[in-house]
Amino acid sequence: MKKTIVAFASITLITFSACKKDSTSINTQGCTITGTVRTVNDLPADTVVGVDPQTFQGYGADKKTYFNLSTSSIVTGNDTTGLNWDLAFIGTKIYLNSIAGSQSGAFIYNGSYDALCSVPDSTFKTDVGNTRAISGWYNYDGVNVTINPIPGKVIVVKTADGKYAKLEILNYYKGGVTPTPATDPNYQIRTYNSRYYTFRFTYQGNGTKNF
Amino acid sequence: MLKKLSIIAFILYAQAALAQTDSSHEKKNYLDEIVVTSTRTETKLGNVAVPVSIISNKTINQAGSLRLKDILQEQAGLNLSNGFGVGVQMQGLNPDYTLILLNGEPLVGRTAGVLDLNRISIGNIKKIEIVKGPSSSLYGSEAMAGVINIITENSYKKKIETSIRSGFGNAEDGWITFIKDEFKNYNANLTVQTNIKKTGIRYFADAFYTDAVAYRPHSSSKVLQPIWRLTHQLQINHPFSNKTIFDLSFRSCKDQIKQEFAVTNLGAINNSYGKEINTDININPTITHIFNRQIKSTLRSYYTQYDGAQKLYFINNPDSSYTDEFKQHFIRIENQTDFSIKKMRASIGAGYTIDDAQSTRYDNFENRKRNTIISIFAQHEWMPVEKLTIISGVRYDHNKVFAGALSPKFAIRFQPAKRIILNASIGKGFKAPDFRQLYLNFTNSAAGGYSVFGTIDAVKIINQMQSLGQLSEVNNDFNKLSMLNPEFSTGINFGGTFIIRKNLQSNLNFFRNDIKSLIDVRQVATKINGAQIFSYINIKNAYTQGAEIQINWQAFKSIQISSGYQYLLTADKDELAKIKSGQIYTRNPDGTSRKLLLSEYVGLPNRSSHMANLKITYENNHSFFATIRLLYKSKWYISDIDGNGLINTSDESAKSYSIMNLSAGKTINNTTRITFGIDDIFNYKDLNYLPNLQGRMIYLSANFKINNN
Repeated sequence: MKKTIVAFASITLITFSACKKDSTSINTQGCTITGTVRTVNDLPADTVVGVDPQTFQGYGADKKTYFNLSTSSIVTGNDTTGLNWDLAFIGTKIYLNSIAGSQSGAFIYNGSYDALCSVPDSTFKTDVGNTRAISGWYNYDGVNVTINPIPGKVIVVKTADGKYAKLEILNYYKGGVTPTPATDPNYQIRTYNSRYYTFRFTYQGNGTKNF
Repeated sequence: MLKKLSIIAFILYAQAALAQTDSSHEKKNYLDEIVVTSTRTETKLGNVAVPVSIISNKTINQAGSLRLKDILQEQAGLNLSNGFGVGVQMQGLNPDYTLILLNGEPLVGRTAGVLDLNRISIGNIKKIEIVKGPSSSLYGSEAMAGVINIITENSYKKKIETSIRSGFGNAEDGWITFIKDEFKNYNANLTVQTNIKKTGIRYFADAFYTDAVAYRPHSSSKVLQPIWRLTHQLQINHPFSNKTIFDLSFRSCKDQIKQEFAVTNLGAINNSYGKEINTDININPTITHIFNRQIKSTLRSYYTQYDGAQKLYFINNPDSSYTDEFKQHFIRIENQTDFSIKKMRASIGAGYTIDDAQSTRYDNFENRKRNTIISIFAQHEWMPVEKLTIISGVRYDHNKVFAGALSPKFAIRFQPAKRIILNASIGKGFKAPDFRQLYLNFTNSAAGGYSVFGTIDAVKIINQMQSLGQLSEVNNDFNKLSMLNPEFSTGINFGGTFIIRKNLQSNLNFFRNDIKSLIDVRQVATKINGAQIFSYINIKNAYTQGAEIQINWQAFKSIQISSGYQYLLTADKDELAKIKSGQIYTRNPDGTSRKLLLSEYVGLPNRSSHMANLKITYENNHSFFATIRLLYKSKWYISDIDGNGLINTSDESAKSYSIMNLSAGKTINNTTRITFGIDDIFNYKDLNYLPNLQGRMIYLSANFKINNN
């Protein structure tokens, strides 16, 4: 068990990078940015180990990737059983931390990420059974067998410890580019490159609702 | 005897007989050619009030075409689509909305709305009439974008004619070596015409074989699918008297396609092999009675059936097999009576149709699904003065399964000057929901595990799955599921024919089609394993509009130049409204979202804004001809990749392309014709987006004719 965690952690180290903009500034939409803006590239989300030729769907090893928004890092090992993470990624499914004591919630806001200066009025939902608060963020292209995040969908998140963040999924493929039959004629190669999230998020650590 | 026969032919197929008389004269003005499809009565092309074009037998022969698709793709404004066979888009509408007729009767057996044009051999075609704009006022369902009527030869002069053709293509780049890597296709046909006493008999047979035609789009390897296709047609013409003529046409077409698929998964190759067999039968007995000079009545009966069956076996698992079969029967009895009184012509008609279909994809082939249609139509053509024709028509189709449809049409033709003919028309078109949209119950375990349910049982099946806990999600669109209604369109066409000089003519047409309650496939639920469930909803509103221009120029006595161009603009009206209200976003190159600009919106996918063709024909008196044909299609969009669900300029597109085809031929002693040609001389290929384009192909054909007068 320990061995697999170590192996998993080492994989995450090489595939994962984050950039950070922390100073207060005014963005193009007139929002005064007080939170931390970060971009995460190629976050693996139970990457594909095989493709079912019957369904064309890729499958992984059924391992969630746990993510902490305040530190912008992957959480592993015993930390995954506590409140030290906010989001868990597995394929197209994104889970909130529903462990007892967690204040997690989320909803999807339709609009511009940059123009969203503060948490809009809406109800934070939690994951209930198979119904996840974060759903409907992508379109499935059945012809190309690809997943396309829908632009103009901002995921507003309340973290496990009650802080606020806004998040936009940019891409679901390795390298941040969705393959097409023209770039990768074999659908299986396209599928093997899936389950790598590129997203940007703004985390507000001071407890206010302003981004 | 001969004279009498030609009179019979005249009465029976007046349009064709007249055209034949034309060809015996020196070159006549093309405006004097006869068309039947635009009004269901014989009318001179110069007198019709809607956009019509005719492809003559000579044009087909000179282009060395093998299948209907080859010749249609050289027509301005017709765009051939790939997927479920080769279909034809007219005025920017999908193949589902163009009615394909064979001698005035519909061909059936569409897959996902597409009637595969490869099924139609053209060795026997006299001419093809293409009417653009809604024609449901005469033909009912499907004639929304227009009608393509394939009219087969109908002469009974004693004759034996045979043609053979062989073509070679190269699967690799480069020239054909005749040694390796090439694929071949062969075609042979035979025509025998004779008459015994008063009865004319005509038999046509056509055999086609190709050993490689397609590249699979989602595979890096090419897959050769050998096709064997055999067509027979028998026509009998018998006059009971000078006034009553009986005519019978029987046609059958059988396809055999050998299939072999290889799917690689984690290094393991799953092979499957099998056969697809498609059969098509058409029987069409007709009686025409001429009461007097003013009244003629035709009783047409028609039976057709289409059977498409595919059976695949898996090499890894030889005991299991996959069968997919679709069978459709279509029976129609129809009477049309034409009146011709002074400056007026009128037609009234009524028909009864039984249409049924059976499929492994509906209920495992258990029951025949049936629709019956009662239709009545009337058309009035009034020529108050020679310069003016006013046509009004209306048709009502009463469907047993779903709502009826009323299709009016109004058209006007005005000739302000000898060299200018102006046309304008407005009409309604409709397409009834087809069987698959009503009855499909299909789960594709070979691709994605998704399911599609027709609307008749969709709600029941999905509720049942829900109660069994098989669903993870039910979408909002589920609540919109209800009985399907026909799709309706309103089409406006206006333009004209301009005779600039005696040797230079031009046709211009502007069109706009507004389509209401288009049936769209929508995801209505999701299964627990993530697979999607789709059904059909009357939900979309769209328009297509554009302009088409055609120029014919007899540059020299022996050189003719013709060219066509179509500009097309399309939009989904609901998408357009969402963009205008700022609800739609796209992505910057770095992946971040921004609002989509209206100028970035493309409209409906799989359509080129610009399509053009140019044809130069050389013909000398010694019966030698040569043609150069150039086709151009601008870029077209395939799929949404920025995720906003609609097509904008940053989405996946196929490159614009041009193709050049050459042909040359010589007729010797009026009995032998040799034709040589190279299709796609620059070897343009696009494996992803034009899987039916085979690349450069060289062919040689020979035609022998024995006339016995």
